[in-house]
Amino acid sequence: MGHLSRSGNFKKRIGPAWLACGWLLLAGSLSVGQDGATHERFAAAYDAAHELTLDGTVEKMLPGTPGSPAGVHVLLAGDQGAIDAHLGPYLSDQTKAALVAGAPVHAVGSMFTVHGKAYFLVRRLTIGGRTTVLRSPHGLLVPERPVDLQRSRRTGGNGPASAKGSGQ
Amino acid sequence: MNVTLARRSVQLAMALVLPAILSACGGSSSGGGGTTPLGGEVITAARQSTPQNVQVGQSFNLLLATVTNNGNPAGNVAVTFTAPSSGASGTFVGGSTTYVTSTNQGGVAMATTFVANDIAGGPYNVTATASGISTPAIFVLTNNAGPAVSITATSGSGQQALVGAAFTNTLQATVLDSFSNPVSGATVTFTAPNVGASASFGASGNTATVTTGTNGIAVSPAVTAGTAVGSYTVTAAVSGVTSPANFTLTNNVGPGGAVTATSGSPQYAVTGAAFAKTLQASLNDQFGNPISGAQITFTANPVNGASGTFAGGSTTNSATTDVNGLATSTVFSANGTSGCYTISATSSGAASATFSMNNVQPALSATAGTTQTATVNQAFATDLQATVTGTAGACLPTPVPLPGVTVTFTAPSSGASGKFSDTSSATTTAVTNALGQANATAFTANGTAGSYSVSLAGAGLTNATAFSLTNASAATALAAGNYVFSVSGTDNTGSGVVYPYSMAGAFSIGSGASAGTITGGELDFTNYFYADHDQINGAASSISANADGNFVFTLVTCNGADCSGTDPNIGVGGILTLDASFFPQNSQKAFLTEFDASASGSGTLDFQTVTSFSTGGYAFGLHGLDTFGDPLAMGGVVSWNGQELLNASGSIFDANDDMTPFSLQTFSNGSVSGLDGFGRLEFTLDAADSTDFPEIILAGYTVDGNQIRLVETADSYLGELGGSALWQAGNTGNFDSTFVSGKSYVVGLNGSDATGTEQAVGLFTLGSSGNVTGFISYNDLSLHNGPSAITAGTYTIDGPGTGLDGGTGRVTLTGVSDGTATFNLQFYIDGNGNLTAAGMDTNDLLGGTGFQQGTGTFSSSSFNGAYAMSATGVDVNHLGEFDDVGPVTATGTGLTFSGSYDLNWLVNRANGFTTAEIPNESLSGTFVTGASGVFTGTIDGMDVTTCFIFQGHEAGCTTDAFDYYLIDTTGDSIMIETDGNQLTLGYFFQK
Repeated sequence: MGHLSRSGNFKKRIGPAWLACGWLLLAGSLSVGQDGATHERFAAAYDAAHELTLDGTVEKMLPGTPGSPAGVHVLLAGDQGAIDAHLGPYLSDQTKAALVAGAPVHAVGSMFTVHGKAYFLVRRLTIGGRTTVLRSPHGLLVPERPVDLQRSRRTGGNGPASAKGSGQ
Repeated sequence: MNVTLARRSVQLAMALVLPAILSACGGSSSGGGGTTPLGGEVITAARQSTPQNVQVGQSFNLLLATVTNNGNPAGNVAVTFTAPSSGASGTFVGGSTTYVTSTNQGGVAMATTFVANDIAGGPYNVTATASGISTPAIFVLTNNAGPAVSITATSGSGQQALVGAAFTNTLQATVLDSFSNPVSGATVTFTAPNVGASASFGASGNTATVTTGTNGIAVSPAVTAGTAVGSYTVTAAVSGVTSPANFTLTNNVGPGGAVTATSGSPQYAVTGAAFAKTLQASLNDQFGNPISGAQITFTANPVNGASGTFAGGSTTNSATTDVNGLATSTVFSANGTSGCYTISATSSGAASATFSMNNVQPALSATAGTTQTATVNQAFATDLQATVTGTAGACLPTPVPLPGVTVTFTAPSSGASGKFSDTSSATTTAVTNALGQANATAFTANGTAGSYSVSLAGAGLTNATAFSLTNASAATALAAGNYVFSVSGTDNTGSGVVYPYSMAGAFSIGSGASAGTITGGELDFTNYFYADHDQINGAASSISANADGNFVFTLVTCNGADCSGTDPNIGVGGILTLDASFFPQNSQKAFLTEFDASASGSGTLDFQTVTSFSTGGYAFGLHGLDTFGDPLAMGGVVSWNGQELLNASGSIFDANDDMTPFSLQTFSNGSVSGLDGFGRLEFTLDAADSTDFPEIILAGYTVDGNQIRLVETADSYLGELGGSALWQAGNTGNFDSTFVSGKSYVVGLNGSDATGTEQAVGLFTLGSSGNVTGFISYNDLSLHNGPSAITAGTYTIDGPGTGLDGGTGRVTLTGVSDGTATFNLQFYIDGNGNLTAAGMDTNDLLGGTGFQQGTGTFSSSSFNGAYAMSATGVDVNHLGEFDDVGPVTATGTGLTFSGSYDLNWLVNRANGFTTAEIPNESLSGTFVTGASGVFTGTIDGMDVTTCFIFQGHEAGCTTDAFDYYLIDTTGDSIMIETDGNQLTLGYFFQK
């Protein structure tokens, strides 16, 4: 797992609390009040310490609305309801193509409220048999990447493209 | 009134007392009914009782008559006082004109008080008679007129006279008292106006003083009209009367004095052509007053055949003078014979005028802008000017300018050419002015390089090669030498994903035979997946220009050092296109955007003045991705002793790695090496925390000795970092609070938070007590605000030798907040007005650069003139990065600006990432001044979502709200969009 391997290198950043709270099964609690906090302060933080896991399906793509987090939104339906999931602006063509109604999804992220509406900020997304990272461990949007990208890149192995070394 | 009553009271008292006195002296005070006088009796008026005069309505002194008999007082004699029954007179007590009484023992008869009636006049007699006495006593009395209460013009008003001539009659004014009695002896002053139409009273000028006669009339001296025409009022005033008498007089224009040529002489016209001006003459009297309604006749007087005709073909033309005395001829045209002659203008009774006319042979020449060179798509520096002159043989051998001639300027219709600003075409016309000059509007070269001629035509002449112009390729305008470029943005990998990238490099512009061409260069590039260092194939690279004046550099990479191929990771197939907008007041600096389909990014281009490396401290800032592809901002100070990093002191750094702050970090080692001819060198930095920060190697390109552009190259860190370093020179290690206390810094910040991209601009004023004030504007699309006053925040800076960062120029800002957003920032200053910045928050991640704000008064005129603009941002729908650069001109008095720009937009659409490179788009904006140089306003035309659908331009672009933070009073500034339409952070720079 990317995060597990990453935590070994970044002990200062990934603490036990994250490990303890991660991978909770989202069950019937996809509501505005789930995160238990309002985030009307500017640049409210992603709550990495209280990540949730959602297993469901894509119900439909949602249009962006003013004031909502910018980027791709999909309505993810689970056993207990549906939630506006924010995937960000950097989805790969392959992931966008997989976001079709009825597609099964496994998502890890955190709840976030702005302007009174709750969003599920997806950090890690599994769809179409691929698991990719959409956010950094602390919730910053990043260009979509495979979960094992860093290890591959360090070893010059199986990343999407190899580093050129000296470039010469 | 009180005086009169008092006087009457005294008289009444005397009337009561005096008989008693007289009785005591042997007189009698008894009334009428006295004894009959005896023979030898006489009656006389007391000397004090006659003569007398008083104002009308006033009391005379008591009338006393004495009756004697043979010289002895005759008492108890009846005496009758009788006043005239009409005209000037008076009445005794009771209102009667008669009064009867008796003499007292002293023989004295005393009448009651006698009061003058309201008729001025006299003298008149009041008699005192006694029976038997044939001769009455007579009191000679006079009623004087009262004070003047009015003055009226009774004669002389309404007269007219020619200017300078005497009026027929004098002026007369009558002065009356309150009973309409004429007041004699009153001083009356006649006054005519001091200026304009007026009159005089002989030697006394415009005033005269006279005295009224017994009839109350004042007669002025003889009155003479002045030289100015018009009606006016002469006043007559008397003391004590508020309203003067007014006399209306009129000075009429005199007989014709002279005709004067007022316009159209001398004149010059090409033979056979009409003269530019019609002839105009004026007719005035001897004093210069215009005469209207008179006829003036213009008559041509040929000389050796040279002449002309008025409209209709006649050599004469008559016109009537207007109210200003002006008469204007019809158009006069020269005949076909060159030469000099006159046209006379005559009017009956007046001296004539002469117009000097000249039928000339023309000459047409180019007199300004004749030989010029401009860069393609740029305006020529000097507007094209033609001059039309004429001569007329021996009588006019020296060329004179010919105004009013239409001149046509014509540039080639194809190939190398240009267009005039008024017609937006290759042809324009202009009419010669009084100097014979025809000035074409600004002429702008088209995009084709080459030399060509602009022809002239006018006055029946043509000059096919009047102007020799050259459209030079863009590159020839660039000085020879190295240019350092630095760009960061978003790279379209082409594999369905995008990634941040940073790039820096340098290329050379040749001299001599290679002037204007790229002769070589090198660059470093990283987009997290790659870390490439390539040479630039100068021979294959080129320079051009866009219509808005931006330069376009097409740089063909080598694959490393192998220039037989290109580096496919760079640009489009190894060809990198950079679009530059140079600063209007500093031709060595420009804003850049990558302008090709591979990426969209912004940056700078600088003429490289040195390629050397100076030891000392460098404040640096880096922004990008860490080892794992997560966002990172880093800043610090590295101090170099030769090629070795001073790791024990003077070198520190801070990092915000995925919103995890790493504060006050140190280095274990470092070195600098490999300086080459393009100013490229490599910095190797080994952090003490080698776990979180494995060895970082940065390629640097020196700019001017003070700045180095940085980009991460192949190293162990394997991140994606770009930034810059600022040389601290002699300030190295010596920074303390005096460097920042009381200073204000304008800082632009770019980064991200949990919802996506975040931008901020602030004016941070560092107070002497360690507080932070100022303004902040911020936007992440979900929330936006600004300019918002900073209400909380503190800062610290260690002095030399204090703490790990002592004297390094590291400034820590903590809890800077406007109540909604809170920022923790690190500044790293160079002591020369520049800084790098890194955010140290746990809810966002920001990095940027800043400038110490200059002193002076910020006003609307602060933002005025030409600027280079740069903007970078993210649209709200497609969420792709866009980058703009272009020229903008601000009008401080109008609080507006406008300009054009070249746009690159990396669009994230449903079917994948697409780029759009759109040159020469237009924008306009407004601004309103604000405190401390923080202005607000709007921009139209830069919203990529509403203004563009790829290559098409939509009407009704969104008007976006912007804040402008001025760095100095010349308007260099950082702007930020403060609405939810899109994210935009940009710059306006003149220098």
